[in-house]
Amino acid sequence: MNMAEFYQWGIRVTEVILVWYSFLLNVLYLGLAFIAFRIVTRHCLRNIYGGFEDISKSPLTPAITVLVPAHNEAVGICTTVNNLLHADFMRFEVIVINDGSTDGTIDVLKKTFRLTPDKLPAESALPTETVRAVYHSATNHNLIVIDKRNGGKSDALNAGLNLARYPYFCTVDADAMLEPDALQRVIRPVVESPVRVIAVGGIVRIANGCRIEKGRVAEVDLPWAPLPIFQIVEYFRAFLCGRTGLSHINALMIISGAFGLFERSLVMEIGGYKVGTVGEDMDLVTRLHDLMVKKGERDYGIEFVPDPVCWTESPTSLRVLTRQRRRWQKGLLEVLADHSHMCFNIRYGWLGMFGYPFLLIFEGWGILIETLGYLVFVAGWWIDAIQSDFMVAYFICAVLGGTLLSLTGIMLGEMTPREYPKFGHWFRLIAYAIIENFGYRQMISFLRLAGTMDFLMGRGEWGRMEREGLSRRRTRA
Amino acid sequence: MTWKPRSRLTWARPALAGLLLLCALPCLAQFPPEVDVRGTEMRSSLMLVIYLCFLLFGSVVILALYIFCLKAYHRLRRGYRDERKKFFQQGIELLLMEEPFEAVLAAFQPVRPGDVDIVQELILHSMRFITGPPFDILRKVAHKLGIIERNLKLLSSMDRHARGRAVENLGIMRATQAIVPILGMLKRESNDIRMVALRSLALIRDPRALPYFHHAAKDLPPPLLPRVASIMLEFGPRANSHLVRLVETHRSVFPPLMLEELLRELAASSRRPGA
Repeated sequence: MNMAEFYQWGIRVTEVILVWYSFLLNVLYLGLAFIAFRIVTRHCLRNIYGGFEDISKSPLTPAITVLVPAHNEAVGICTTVNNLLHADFMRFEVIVINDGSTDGTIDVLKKTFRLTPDKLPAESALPTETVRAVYHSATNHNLIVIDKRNGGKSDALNAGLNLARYPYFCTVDADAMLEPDALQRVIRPVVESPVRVIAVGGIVRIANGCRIEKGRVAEVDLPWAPLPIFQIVEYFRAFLCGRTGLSHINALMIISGAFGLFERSLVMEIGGYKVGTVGEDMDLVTRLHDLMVKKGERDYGIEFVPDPVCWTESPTSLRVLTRQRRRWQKGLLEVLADHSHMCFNIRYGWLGMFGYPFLLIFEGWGILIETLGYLVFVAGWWIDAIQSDFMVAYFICAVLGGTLLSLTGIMLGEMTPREYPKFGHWFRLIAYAIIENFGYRQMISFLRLAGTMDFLMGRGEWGRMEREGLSRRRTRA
Repeated sequence: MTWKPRSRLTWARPALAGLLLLCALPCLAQFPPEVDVRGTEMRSSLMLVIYLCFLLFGSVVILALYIFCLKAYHRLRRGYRDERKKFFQQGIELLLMEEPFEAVLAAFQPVRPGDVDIVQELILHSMRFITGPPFDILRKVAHKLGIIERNLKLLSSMDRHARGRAVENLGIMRATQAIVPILGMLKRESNDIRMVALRSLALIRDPRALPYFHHAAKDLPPPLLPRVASIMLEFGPRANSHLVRLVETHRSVFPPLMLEELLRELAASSRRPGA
């Protein structure tokens, strides 16, 4: 076998691997989408009756502590806190943790909510950076503000956990807006599930373009800039197809840090959030799974609610998006590396046999196969080892597979409340579900590759997310 | 042997699977390696890609069309229902103006097919906020229009969601004639419908249903028992002894904080007048 033949053989073998890899990937995603379709349909039909209004009024419904870590969020923190204080729920407290902000976040909070200093806690269950002061609000009895030295998001959440009083806590990003009934919706699986539910995630929707009034999404609309719309399609696909499907088999490893509910005692038992990681949300969920399996408790659930509960601002510039995606990819790989013992471990049930390997192969390291694919296809075509018609057919197939998945996500989005009301919105969403395959997806792949490199080289950090502040104007991002 | 209603979807699933298999047959027929699809040089990867292209293209087109049809249907339906609701809204206005029962009933009389659904929705929505004599008039209207009867029939529907909706509607309407059928449902339904049924019984507020909560609690998974206790609280002081019995029977299920809260609530309710 001469060198040219060897190259050709290598490319043929790689081609077969790539084709079957993408076939398997699409089949698994479509399988998850099919499960998600059933779950969302059932959930929406179930929502019509057996309402959850009485859940929040019942004295036996567990109370919730809402934790809001804030670092340089002076622009929108008051809107967020006001929004949370007006949540439609009977017993809850809001703890805002000012994580060493330098933009006057604490001053804005002091002024708006008439904060008065309180005694510092004598001892803390979780170690954190120094807490400078704890404040109570004179206007809202259930608002507490912690002012501490900068230690990162995990550290801020741990400081909040030290002060939390209630059995469940909910994390909310400082730039997020909750639906008024969000707390009712996420606590519902806890009180109505036949198994012990230890964590609940909700769908996070993108608020760019929506009309915001008094910290609430008053009218759902699409932004004009393409970047946020691509992300809207992506969020629909990821949340409604992926996470709903995985939660059905109790293999959910990610609950978004922007909004998630957890059983406090268990989180304290595992030592709170892990400091120094960029994927603290995923890490927490994975460690909770680990804890339950080690305790021998098989009847537990980590659930995902397909109702829209939280709205957030998505990056509108490539620079911020780049940082965000690199961070996500690095966080994912870190968590996967830390919990490698779960891989194909039958003790973890579906999580070990499907959830973890799925994330590891397709979401984590799959990016290397994707990159290899791009390189091999171009190289193969260059040395004439791959026919052009095959390349075209493969590309069409990949585009159609991606589009089908995105359309499923969009359709599931239509079934849940707060859907996009106009026909024009749906034309645009469907158009973007097709267009994203010509550039956006490749760009995201490249960013994920960069995140993988960050992980391998041990570089990268949280970075700064610049916000325009959603409540200031109707975003034409 | 008790008859257990089954969903219509039970039969739909194998039918759908059969249909998909039928669609896939032409593809499968081409797949043995000895059959060379023109131009593929018997390369399985290329054949797979070509077949997938056709399959995916068809799926994408169908799904896109489905989304638009679904959207169009929802919009049309919502628009029509809103318009009809406005028409029947005058019934609620007459009720609030304390007009005679006959006038209210006449305002709610269905005219077109499908109007009963809209009237039912409107009445149920209003019943959530209205109490006292206007509530009783609305219940009488619901009875005269056959809405209560209709929901009672739906309790034995094949569709579990229809049964769930019906049981909740009967609870909101405080239809005492539904108590016996609802108690029957507690024996044969799934956990979530049972919980809805218990809530409906609590809404009807007939204390004779309270002992049945214990029977239901025996068959329910332990994590659901705090919810049962929470529903029983709706009965007020009359439920106190039953609640104590429930907690004593299943003490391990109630965490200390919840027990504390429950005891506080029991103490408060026993202090209320009429306890």
